[in-house]
Amino acid sequence: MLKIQDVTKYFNLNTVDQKLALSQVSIDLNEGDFMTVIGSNGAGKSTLLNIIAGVHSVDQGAVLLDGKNILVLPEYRRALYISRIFQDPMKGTAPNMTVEENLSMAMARGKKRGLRKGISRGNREMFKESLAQLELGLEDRLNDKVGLLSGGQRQAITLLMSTITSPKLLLLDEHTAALDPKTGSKIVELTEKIVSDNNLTTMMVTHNMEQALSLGNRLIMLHGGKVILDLKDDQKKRMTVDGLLYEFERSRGEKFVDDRVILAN
Amino acid sequence: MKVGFLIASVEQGFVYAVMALGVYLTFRILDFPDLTVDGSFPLGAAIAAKMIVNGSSPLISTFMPLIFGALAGIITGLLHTKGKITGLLAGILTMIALYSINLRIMDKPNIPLLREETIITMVSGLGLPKWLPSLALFVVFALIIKLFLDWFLFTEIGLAIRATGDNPHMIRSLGANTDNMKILGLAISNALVAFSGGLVAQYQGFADVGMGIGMIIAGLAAVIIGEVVFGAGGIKRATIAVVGGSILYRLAIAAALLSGLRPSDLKLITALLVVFALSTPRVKALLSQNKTAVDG
Ligand SMILES: Nc1ncnc2c1ncn2[C@@H]1O[C@H](COP(=O)(O)OP(=O)(O)O)[C@@H](O)[C@H]1O
Ligand SMILES: [Mg+2]
Repeated sequence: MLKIQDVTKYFNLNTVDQKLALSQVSIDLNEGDFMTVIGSNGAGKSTLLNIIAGVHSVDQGAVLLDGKNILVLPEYRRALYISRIFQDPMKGTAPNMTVEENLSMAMARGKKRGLRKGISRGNREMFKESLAQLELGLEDRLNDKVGLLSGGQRQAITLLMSTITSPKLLLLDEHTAALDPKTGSKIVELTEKIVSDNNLTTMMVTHNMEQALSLGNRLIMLHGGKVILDLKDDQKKRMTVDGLLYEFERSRGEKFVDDRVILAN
Repeated sequence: MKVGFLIASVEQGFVYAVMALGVYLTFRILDFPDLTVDGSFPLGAAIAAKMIVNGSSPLISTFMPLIFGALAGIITGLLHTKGKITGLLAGILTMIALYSINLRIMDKPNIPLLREETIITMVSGLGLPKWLPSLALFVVFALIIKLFLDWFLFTEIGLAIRATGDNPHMIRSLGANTDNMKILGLAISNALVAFSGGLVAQYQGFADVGMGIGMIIAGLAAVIIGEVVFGAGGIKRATIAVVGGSILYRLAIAAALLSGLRPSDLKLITALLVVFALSTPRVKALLSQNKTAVDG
């Protein structure tokens, strides 16, 4: 359902700061796949998600969602199909608006907005139920400004906002990295539950290898803008943290060899 | 004489509140410091005055500025979103351009309206006590616009406009076109500002090409005084605070005049007032910080 074909992305192309962020990346996701994405800092993980979501353009390649080329759509038009959550819990919610208003805006994801009431009474009960499932006591705080909540609570609301309309694709970029470990694992737990309840096709960037192995049915490792490992179902199940580390070292070694070749020339 | 001053200040408070609500929409809701206001206010005055002396009905002359004010806002919005010019500069450019346009509309720097039929003489014709017509008219307009904003800012589009000022990144990822939201907000804001300009021209009996100078600061003064004095909890509270702030501001100006200051000093007073009020929350924050430091 998501096909990424041969995508290459440079930043600052044709300047002294030119930087190859993604190099001929190809990924194929099926409906309901949950893919974890790992790789060192600067490997291109965020860039990959940003390209899918429409924040960045590509220099080469194609991105197809259900067979349709989505690269021609601006970011706000892709919102109908694609939800995303960022590392920074401040990014996913409007702090000076209430919990209820934030959730209502998420209900209108990708739809044409008009002069109807932005908050419908009918939704309120549904919001309360969904919030109660988070078990963070948020169901009583519908009318509180989101800015008053903790980072973990805000990220939980962001998670709800991203999934409340069951998007075709959910993109998570280290969405627990800025939280304390306890809150972080709570959010991971919720993520797993919501993704499986709604059978959402998901890509999740994480720097936690154990998490990357325990969650989902797919795993890719990026390095230097290239996919250096792409594991499916059984392969993924058999993989270990040590195995991942070995693969990682091996790719670095290869890079080292590359560098030596360049230096030798 | 003092009572006359008081009534006049309250009248002015309400008629300028219409402008201040426009400023609130850009400055507070959209987080966009829009200087178009200094041009769109006299634009409204110019249009209303010119139409009235040309014999148009006072009603149409009063409402026409809404449309042209909106156009001015749209131009600033386009300069900013499509032309990629910073918000501050985009507003200044439109404001400067409007100066020439306003002179073209008026043909001369000042149009007197003394013996003309205006919306105020129209209402006065209903046989009300002498002090009532302007006040009643402006109270009604200010409240209608307050209620309009209270409704609009809770519609689907209204929420998206508020989110555009609060977290544009997030609302874009939810599928709203933030460029269009900004343009729409600027259009509504400047429509209100121009409408206020048209009313003020009819109220004071003339339109003057220079009557917009410093208008943005007067608007800000009303918004900020309102917040400091009445608080700014939700939207409904905030919009009534703007109206209250506008009245307090005009009373403060009247007090300054009564105490012997010249009208030409008022811009300085206003600037000082805004500086003071803007720093007040900071002063408050500093005080409470010190307090916790002492407590802790
Ligand atoms: N907006 C940008 N402009 C220039 N370079 C960028 C930009 N975003 C990312 N990069 C560079 O692209 C590379 C990949 O970055 P990123 O995708 O953020 O990595 P990560 O895997 O850590 O998320 C890095 O070298 C980074 O410095
Ligand atoms: Mg990243």
